[in-house]
Amino acid sequence: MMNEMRHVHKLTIILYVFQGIKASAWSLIVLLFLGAGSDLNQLLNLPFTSFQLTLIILGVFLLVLIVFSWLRWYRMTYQLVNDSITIKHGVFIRHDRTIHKRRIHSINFTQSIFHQVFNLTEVQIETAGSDLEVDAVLKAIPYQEAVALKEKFLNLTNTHLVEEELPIDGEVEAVDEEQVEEEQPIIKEKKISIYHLLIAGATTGRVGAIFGIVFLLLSEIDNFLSEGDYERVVDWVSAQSIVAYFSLVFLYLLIVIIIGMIGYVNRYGRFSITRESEMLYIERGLIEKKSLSIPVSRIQAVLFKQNLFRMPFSLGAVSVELAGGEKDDKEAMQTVIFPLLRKKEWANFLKELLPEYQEDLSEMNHIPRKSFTFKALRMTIIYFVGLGVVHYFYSELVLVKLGVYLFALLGLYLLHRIPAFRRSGEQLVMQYFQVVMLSKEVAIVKKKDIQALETQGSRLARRLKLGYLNLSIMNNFLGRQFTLGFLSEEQLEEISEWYISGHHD
Amino acid sequence: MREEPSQQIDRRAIRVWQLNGVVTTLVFAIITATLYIVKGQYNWPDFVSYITYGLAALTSIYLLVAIFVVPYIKWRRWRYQIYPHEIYVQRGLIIITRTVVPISRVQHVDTEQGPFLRAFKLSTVSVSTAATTHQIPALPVEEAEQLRDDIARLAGVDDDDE
Repeated sequence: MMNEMRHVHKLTIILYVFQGIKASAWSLIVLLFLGAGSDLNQLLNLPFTSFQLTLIILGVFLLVLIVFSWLRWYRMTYQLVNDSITIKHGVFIRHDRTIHKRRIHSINFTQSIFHQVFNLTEVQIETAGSDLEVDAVLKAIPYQEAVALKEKFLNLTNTHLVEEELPIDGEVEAVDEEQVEEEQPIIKEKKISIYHLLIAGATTGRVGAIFGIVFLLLSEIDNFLSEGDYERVVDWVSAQSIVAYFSLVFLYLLIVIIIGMIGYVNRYGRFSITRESEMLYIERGLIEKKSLSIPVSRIQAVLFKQNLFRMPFSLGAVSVELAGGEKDDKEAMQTVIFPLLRKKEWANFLKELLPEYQEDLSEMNHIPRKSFTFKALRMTIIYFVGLGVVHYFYSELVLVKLGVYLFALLGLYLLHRIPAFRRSGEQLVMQYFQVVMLSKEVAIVKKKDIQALETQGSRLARRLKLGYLNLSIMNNFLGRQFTLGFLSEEQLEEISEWYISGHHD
Repeated sequence: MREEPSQQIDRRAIRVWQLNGVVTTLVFAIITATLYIVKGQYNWPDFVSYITYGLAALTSIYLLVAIFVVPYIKWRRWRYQIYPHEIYVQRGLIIITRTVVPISRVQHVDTEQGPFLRAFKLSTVSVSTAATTHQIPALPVEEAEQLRDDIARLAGVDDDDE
């Protein structure tokens, strides 16, 4: 019970200031470039040049921001009382929040370089609530204290609970003996090699996004070069040979990939995952260090994801869908628990770190061939009706039109081979193609975590005894749905029966 | 495949959907009319009037379909059945969806009423799980409330079992 009211570390003020600058960066830039200075000048007839006025506006803004940040820090206190933490904050509106140990799902640390210099850490306390504002954040507290907090509230729950909640004299000793027996928890750890990390970085889907950014920058360059320079560059470029072009493109791609890799290595560098009793601990990050703790009971699904770049090498990343408020990871709101793994290593990974989800992943039931026939026929009809209309107005390029059709047919066939499932005991394995992220995913879901099951199909599909299957699970804020299709009627029935059974017990 | 659920929703649902269709049509009609009037005022190019004719045609077709076709099919498709351990719902127009929600997954049950539903003394039961919400629309108010309480009771019992 170390429980006087405390302020968080003063570094918080600086962090708030940065946060404020980052948040208002765009409006500031707009303000400055739209010449707010000169407008004000005209309006008030002030004795400044617009440049000076701009500086003054900036200065005032910074001053207000600093004062406000200081106030925010000053008004933010926290206090540990028995088994709960109370956090008070808010400049204008006061918030008092008390979170009891039992309600805490996980405690995550984030250390930026600033934190690391002073040996501090940001602490995010996550509760069962899915409200973004509900979860508590301590911007900067001493690292040791944070670790003590985490141990108090999380992983040593069992031992601590026993000590604190059973103060009846006779029983304490007996419990203590049990504890000694269980004292050595089985700890499994897995790290990623720098070699794997680099490969993972080179094959992230993000390369595409960075590609776009670099392209945008390049296209803006001509604004910065003076006219003569620009023309000289263009002249020079058009004088080069094809070989030179290709090497330029190659160089460009290389740069893009390297930028992607650096970003990735920074994010997932020094990655390690540890399983200790009912918790998974993840440490990652080169410059900004993160440490996440995930209670296994919160996992709703385990996924193995392969994007287009990783598919040919049968590599992929392992992630989990969690119930409750994990707002940190922007990557499709999923938490990556291992950045890169060979597909055949996956089963082993589960066996070691998540034995709850252990699964033989070799034999899967694929969707029936008539599913492909149906989709292919449907596409053929739609395509040729469309083509007929186009052809009426524009009759050239027949070969290209047919080529596109064959290409689409091939794509359809490749996609047809992906969907599959496997039902075993209390869990269901699903393999499907995720269209938005263009990735092939395998998900393992437990029956108890499936919230609802749907079968779906048009009358025609139904007559052909085909249908889609939708399964809903809980994840961060909204539900998430898995879709498989077309399955045959028997397969749909098999899964439905499996899903319903067990509730009748 | 499994039989479709046995219970049908109230036939007055058709009237409610028709009214909804009329309201949507009105919105379209207002947009079209506005475009037509503004076009006349500002001397916009000719193709704008073709657009307005097109919109007017689409609006009328929409009105016809929304009154004479969609509500009847929808009503025929909508079915539900409550088993001791699961809720079974079917809906759909062209694509038919059948949903199974185990009662043990139900987090809460609501009844809700829009103005049209209220005018017909109807009510919608909506069942929420941790991830999804499922609706059984347009039941007579007493029936809806009875159903809501039944599901809630079953859900409570199921929870006790676990």
